[in-house]
Amino acid sequence: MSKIFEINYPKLVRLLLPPRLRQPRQVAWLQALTTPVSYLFQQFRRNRNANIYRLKITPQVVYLEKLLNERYDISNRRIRITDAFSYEPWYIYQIAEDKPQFLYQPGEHKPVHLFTKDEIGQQTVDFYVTVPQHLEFNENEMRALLDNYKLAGKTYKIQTV
Amino acid sequence: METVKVKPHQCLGDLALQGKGSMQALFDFAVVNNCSITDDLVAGNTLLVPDIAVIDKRIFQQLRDAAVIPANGFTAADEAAMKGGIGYMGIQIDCRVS
Repeated sequence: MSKIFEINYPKLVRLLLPPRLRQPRQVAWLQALTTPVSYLFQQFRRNRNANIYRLKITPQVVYLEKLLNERYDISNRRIRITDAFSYEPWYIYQIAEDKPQFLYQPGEHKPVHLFTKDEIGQQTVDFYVTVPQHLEFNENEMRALLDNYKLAGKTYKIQTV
Repeated sequence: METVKVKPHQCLGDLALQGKGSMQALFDFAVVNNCSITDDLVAGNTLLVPDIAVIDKRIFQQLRDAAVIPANGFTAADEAAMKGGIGYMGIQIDCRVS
């Protein structure tokens, strides 16, 4: 069904001309006349291909990853979608509570991670989009793209890792 | 489904004319054979004929009575004239050797 949309208009012009009329000037003139049709047909083909691509993308993880990687990281394909996970919260107390928590210097190699509410499960999201650190992208554009294809009601967070 | 054998220099439009009497059947031929209306056909290949009624019975019958096989497809000369350049030029046709 798809091959029916592959029409070579310059060739069609020649084919529809009787062979004895297929002189260079005649063909060139007719091809010039059909150029607008050919141009419109190219636009139609481009739109059709874009629509087919759009319909191929579903909210499945594998397709969302394909969409994002083809848009932002076509060669390395490093953008991943992972399930939401939650970390243990790290609490800080007042002096009166007498429960000291220590922060270390970089040389001590004992990092203490501070998590956001999303990450400790207080404001849960359904999935994370992990993007490599040095990848340049427009977050608003990526959000618009994801909002277009994700399931309604699913929440997500874009994380740079 | 009925089939038709492609003769030399025939294009899909010729087959539509030969089989259904009108170029209106061109897209039906393209759909059943899953090809483009401008595809080059190879002589000797067998193509399917769509299951539709003959569109122009007068033309169909005239071609059949006169045993005429329409063959207006692309020839090598057409191809050369359209594309041009080395590989498509013919010696003493559009490439002069002196």
